[in-house]
Amino acid sequence: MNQRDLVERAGRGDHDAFAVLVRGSIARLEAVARLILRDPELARDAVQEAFIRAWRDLPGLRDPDKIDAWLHRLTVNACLDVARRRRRRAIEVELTPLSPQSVGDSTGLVLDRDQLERGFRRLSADLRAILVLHYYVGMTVPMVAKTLDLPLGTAQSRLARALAVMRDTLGADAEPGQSAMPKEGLA
Amino acid sequence: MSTTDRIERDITAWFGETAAPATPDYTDDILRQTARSRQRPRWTFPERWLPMSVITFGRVNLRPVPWRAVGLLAVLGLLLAVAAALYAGSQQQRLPPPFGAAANGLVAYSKGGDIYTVDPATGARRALVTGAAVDAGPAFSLDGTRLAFLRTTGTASIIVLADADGRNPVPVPMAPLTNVSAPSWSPDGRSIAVLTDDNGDTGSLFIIDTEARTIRKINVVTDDNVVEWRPPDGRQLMVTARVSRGARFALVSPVNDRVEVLPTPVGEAAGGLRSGGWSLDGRRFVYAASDGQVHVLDFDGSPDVVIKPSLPQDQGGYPRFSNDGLHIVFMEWSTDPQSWLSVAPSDASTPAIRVSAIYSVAIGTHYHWSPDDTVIALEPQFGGARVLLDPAGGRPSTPPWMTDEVESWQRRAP
Repeated sequence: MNQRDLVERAGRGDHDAFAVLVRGSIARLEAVARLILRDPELARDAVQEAFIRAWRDLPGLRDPDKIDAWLHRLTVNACLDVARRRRRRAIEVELTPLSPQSVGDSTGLVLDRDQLERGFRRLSADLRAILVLHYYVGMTVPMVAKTLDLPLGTAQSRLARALAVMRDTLGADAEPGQSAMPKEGLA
Repeated sequence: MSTTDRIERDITAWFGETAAPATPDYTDDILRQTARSRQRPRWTFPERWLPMSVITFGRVNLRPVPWRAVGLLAVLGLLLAVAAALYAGSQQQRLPPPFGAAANGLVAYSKGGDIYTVDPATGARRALVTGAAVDAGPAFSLDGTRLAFLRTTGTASIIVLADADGRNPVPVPMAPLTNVSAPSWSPDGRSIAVLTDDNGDTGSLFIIDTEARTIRKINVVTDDNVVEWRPPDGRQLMVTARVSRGARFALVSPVNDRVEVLPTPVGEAAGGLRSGGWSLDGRRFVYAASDGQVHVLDFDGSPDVVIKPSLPQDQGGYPRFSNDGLHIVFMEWSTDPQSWLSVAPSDASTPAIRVSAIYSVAIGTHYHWSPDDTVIALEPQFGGARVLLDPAGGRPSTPPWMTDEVESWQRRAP
């Protein structure tokens, strides 16, 4: 059975079909949520919320072929909701060990991941979402705009702003005597 | 390579390293949670039935919003809505409760295969359902807003649902039933119970869901043609059930179709039991037994109350609770072939009083109280003229209708 059939069946209340969809997409969406939220517990909350919403609203999905974009959108929205709810709470940063190959990258092009981490933590959740969808999921900017229901220009400017913040942070880190600590947690 | 190119490349690599996809251990939790929750019905999504151009119109035609004008319009709209609601509220017909005394509305009856109503106050008649079809057995819903009747071909009938004024008749999709009783509405107006006479001796109970437009047969053999929804909410129906060679009352749940046969204190002979309705609170039930007496059964387990006839040695049968539950009308007879109707208090505190003439022949058994309990409609002889009896024993009157069968009296808000 192809994905389109699964989506149509799930939309008619077939929970087994929905389970197949969940198992096929949850790893990818969980990774997206972890990247945006930088916290495994919050990511878990967001992914749960996204799939519960997906099950509830699946009968309203007009085009079954757009299930992937729709699930990404639900996940990003759930991440933004979770981030808003936890706005003033300190965020735990999960320190995932680098793979040995990455540590030993001989090209020297990979910046210090602590710098990247610091730069990324300075971004608001919606800017993180743009970066994650574009650079991790591999969506084009127009696809990102469509997924997040943003005008294309807004998506483009947010992506540019996110990159500028990252670049500034990395530049500041490179200058001695400047603090590289983020000013606050998640926006 | 520019700085931006390098940052982009490093971000991509860093994302790849730090977020290797792995199936999380809470996947089953999510599936358990979703399995327990319900999906939104399809029709609640405007996207499913409106063209996308309508839905996205507001998004693609973005213009500055004149908030002040919008605010003024909103206030104006609100005022209009309040005025409309007040007007509609003043015009809206209040509905009576499903049980208890109510105001008298129209009387629906059938004559010659057509259905009519008559206003008992003015005598004004109106044909509701006419045509080639043979229609009979009209029954108003307990709130008086709907009408159900039988459409018969030969001896087989189907149920037709309509508005109280006969408009919008819709046949229930069902296999025709043979020898079917008049419809009996549930208090919420959603279901209708009917009984069939299968062989002149026993019958079957069917429940029709008027919203789903389905009909189902209940697993009980009935011994009489009376079915009574239990007040206040219709959570059960009382029928007389054939059990072995005898008869017992049985409570039927319309939710799960469960049948509970009651131990009847008196009279279990087949054909000897006849139900006569519930008290308002659904705790007491009046019935006639083969001992020739009218009993009031209390579900609190206390002994039956036996209604006192107007003459001590007389017998009684075919009882009916008044709408307010305070009185019982029943047929009384002595050893002579004479019978009449009597009314007694339902607590049997005093003997009954005779409220009709004395008839030397068997009188009709389907007499009933008007919604306001001020009169009792009686057909003394089959096919003969109706009389309206005064429950206090005053002079009877003649109603402005002549019917082939038992009429249905519409309940209105008091």
